[in-house]
Amino acid sequence: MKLVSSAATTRSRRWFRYAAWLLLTVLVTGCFGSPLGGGTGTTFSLQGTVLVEGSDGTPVPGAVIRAAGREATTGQDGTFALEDLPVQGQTMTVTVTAPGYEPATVAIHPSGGANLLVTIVLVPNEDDGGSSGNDGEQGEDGGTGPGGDDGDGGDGGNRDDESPEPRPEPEPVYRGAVEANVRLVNVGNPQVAAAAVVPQELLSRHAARTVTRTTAEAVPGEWIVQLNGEYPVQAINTMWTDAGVRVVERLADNFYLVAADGAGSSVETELRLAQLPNVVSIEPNKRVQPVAVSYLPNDTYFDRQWSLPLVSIPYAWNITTGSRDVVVAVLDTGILPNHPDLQGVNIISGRNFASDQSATNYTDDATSLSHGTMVAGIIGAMTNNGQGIAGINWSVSIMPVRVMSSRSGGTVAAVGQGIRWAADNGAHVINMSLAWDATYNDTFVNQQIEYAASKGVVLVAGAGNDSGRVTMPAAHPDVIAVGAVDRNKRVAWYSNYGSQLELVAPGGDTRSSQANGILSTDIVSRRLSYSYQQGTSFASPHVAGIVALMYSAGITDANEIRELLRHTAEDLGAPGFDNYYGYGLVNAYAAVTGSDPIKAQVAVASADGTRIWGPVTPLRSGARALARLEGVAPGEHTLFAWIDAVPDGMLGDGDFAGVTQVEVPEDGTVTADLVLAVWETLSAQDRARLSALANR
Amino acid sequence: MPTRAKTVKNTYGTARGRRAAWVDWRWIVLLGGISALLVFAGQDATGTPPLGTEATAATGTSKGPAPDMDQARSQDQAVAVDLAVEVVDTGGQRAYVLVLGAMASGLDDAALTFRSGQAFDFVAVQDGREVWRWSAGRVFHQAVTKRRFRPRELVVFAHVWDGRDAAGNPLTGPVEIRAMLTSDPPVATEPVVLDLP
Repeated sequence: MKLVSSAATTRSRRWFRYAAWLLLTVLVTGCFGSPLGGGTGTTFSLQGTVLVEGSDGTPVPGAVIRAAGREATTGQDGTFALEDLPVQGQTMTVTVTAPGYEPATVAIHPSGGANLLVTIVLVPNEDDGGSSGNDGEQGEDGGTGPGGDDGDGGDGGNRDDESPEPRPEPEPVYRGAVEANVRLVNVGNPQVAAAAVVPQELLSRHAARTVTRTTAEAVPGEWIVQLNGEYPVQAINTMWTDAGVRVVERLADNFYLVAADGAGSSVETELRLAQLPNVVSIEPNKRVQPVAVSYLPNDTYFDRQWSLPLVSIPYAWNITTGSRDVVVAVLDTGILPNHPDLQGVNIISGRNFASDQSATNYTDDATSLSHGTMVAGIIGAMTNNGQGIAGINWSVSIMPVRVMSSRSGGTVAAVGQGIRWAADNGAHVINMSLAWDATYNDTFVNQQIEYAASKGVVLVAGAGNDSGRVTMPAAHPDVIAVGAVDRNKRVAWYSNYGSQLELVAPGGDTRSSQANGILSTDIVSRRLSYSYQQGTSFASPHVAGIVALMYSAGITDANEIRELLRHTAEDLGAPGFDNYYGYGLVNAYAAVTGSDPIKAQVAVASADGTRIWGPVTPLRSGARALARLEGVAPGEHTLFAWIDAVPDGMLGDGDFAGVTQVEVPEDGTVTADLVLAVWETLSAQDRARLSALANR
Repeated sequence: MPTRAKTVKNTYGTARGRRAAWVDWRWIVLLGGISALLVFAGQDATGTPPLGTEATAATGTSKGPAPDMDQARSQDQAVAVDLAVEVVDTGGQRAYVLVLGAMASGLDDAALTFRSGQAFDFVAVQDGREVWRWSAGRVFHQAVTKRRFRPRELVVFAHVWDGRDAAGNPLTGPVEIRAMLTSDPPVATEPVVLDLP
């Protein structure tokens, strides 16, 4: 970031303190070999003016300039000239002294025949009333006036001692503020970096579709440097010959590739480079290279599974594809373990609690619509096996717990038994795509829910399809209630709502087309197949599957899981929590990377980019993350934020970022909605803006 | 729907006792309907499940009555439904066979949308207050499905009720039994009044 100093100030004691931190500012003009004469091939000329720091061009007469064993004294107008100075090395030091001022040194890089024109600014000594010197004693010598014996700084500073120097204008106090509501959105497009780090054992089955991921690493000792104009490479190298860097090539316009020239740490070289004349900006050169060849699943119907990219599941596969160590209990109608797309899934021993079959028979008895098989398929059907659908988890363990019959439903008691059994037999997640009337209050099942929750099990249930109040068990506080949306992210026509609703996920809407339903493993007319269905039954396993991904990514605390799901969800409907979307549409990638919006860095940049307010981090305000920046100058500014979701210290692929314009008032607060999306989904223009802002 | 309210008395005797006072074509329809249910099961093109049935037998043999589908189908409704209730008394154990019949009322198939795995319900009402419901304490999957009813195919849902309220207390006196398909919108039968001893 660059701080722009205020307008010209007059001397004051306060200003001297600030100025004590400043070194000389050297403005070198016309130094690119302009034939102003004054030197031979081995000599150069040095001319310039010495001014008072912070003044409107007040010269310092009597200042002594020493260079290359020669010296000159400034006249009344502050100017000096040294000619035929021998070139002694690539860098030469020029010292400047004057009574009443801090001594200064300047490093110059002369070349034979050059005529260097410099402007040197001297800082008055502290405790002087002005540039007149020390308590007036030296005023006579330096002709600098009565001095600042009172130290007020209001009178001193003038050699003529005729009129007081104007007081420096105080830094303005801005009363404008920006309040940003920071929120995340889903990736949406499955082709956006929809690549997975695939375990070898899953690759061996079939050839997968390949997607090449890239990464950008800094190239040591190389920088992309922006100058304040377009210059010949040789001219720049001539001027910079003592700087330890060299221009390799001109890239485009006023951008140059610069390399370190010799030894020395990269950091020191970069610092030195930053101080070279005409340098506007520096950033490390980066090498873009594929780090891994990754894959999209080759399942036949993957392209029909619109629900997966809607909640960023393919993008989450960049982080994890699941684990067999994670157990998801499916409390349902049982499953059909012989389904071809469940072959190879780790289906662990289950249990039956419905009265129509034996305790060990958890097979679904359906001849059409095997509800439990559909739910299990969404969570963990075989992925990348060249057929069928892709499960949310490429690897997972499914625990089938049969609590109802496909033909006649089940009982609340059976559900309670199933919850208890699953919790006692290693389930990490329990999915319940079932419901009973919330007015039916059953103490037994409530206790089993609370028991499972106390063991750290994450319980997920569909909110129900009555277009009314959330049903049980979803309505229980220890259960994540999931409503349904269609493929346009609109709440489904059947989805229940209310204060107990927590999240929404794709449940489909087949009224206009079957393809708008959720596709999964099924039995159709006694034949193992696939079908599209709709209902909160199919929204719930999306969340359960994402919870399993979170587990495999190392997020295993149930409370943390629930909080992350809430706060990383894509806010739909009314801002913040609402009864129709809850906290919003689940976001798998944000959840598995722990990209809570309160981790964002939020800042405001002035239109010319010279001033930055922030960054600050948002605070939780109900269901929202609000960031507040105070003391912002009025006018149109750029509000921007990012989350380093891929924690590499760089803003790029996999990170969340967003930018928008705000009009800040003179006095008051402007509120803005700042949407953070995954880097690759941003427009090129936004990425360029963010890169420029974040690199300041 | 028929407007009559049937009061069904204990027409039939026990399996060991008297024979039924009459046997007519309703029995054929009932048996045929049950057979059709088992064979065809009302599936639609997407393979949605058969209509869920509940046929829990009480003690003894249930010889449930058949719904009067002729009258039901005469009404202006895509799917005609009717409720028949029969009392079965075996060795002093009294049970009530509740039978809900459904059939497409016209010449074409009719489809109904069901918001869950529940397809039907039976309700007992006494003095204007609901005292028993079949679905209480039951759970159903949450898939929204469409089910097809055919014109000449009777789909039957049956349940043997023990004549007790939700708390298990035996009911006496007049009790109104209602039945419905829990579709969206629901399709309900006319109530049947039982006089429980």
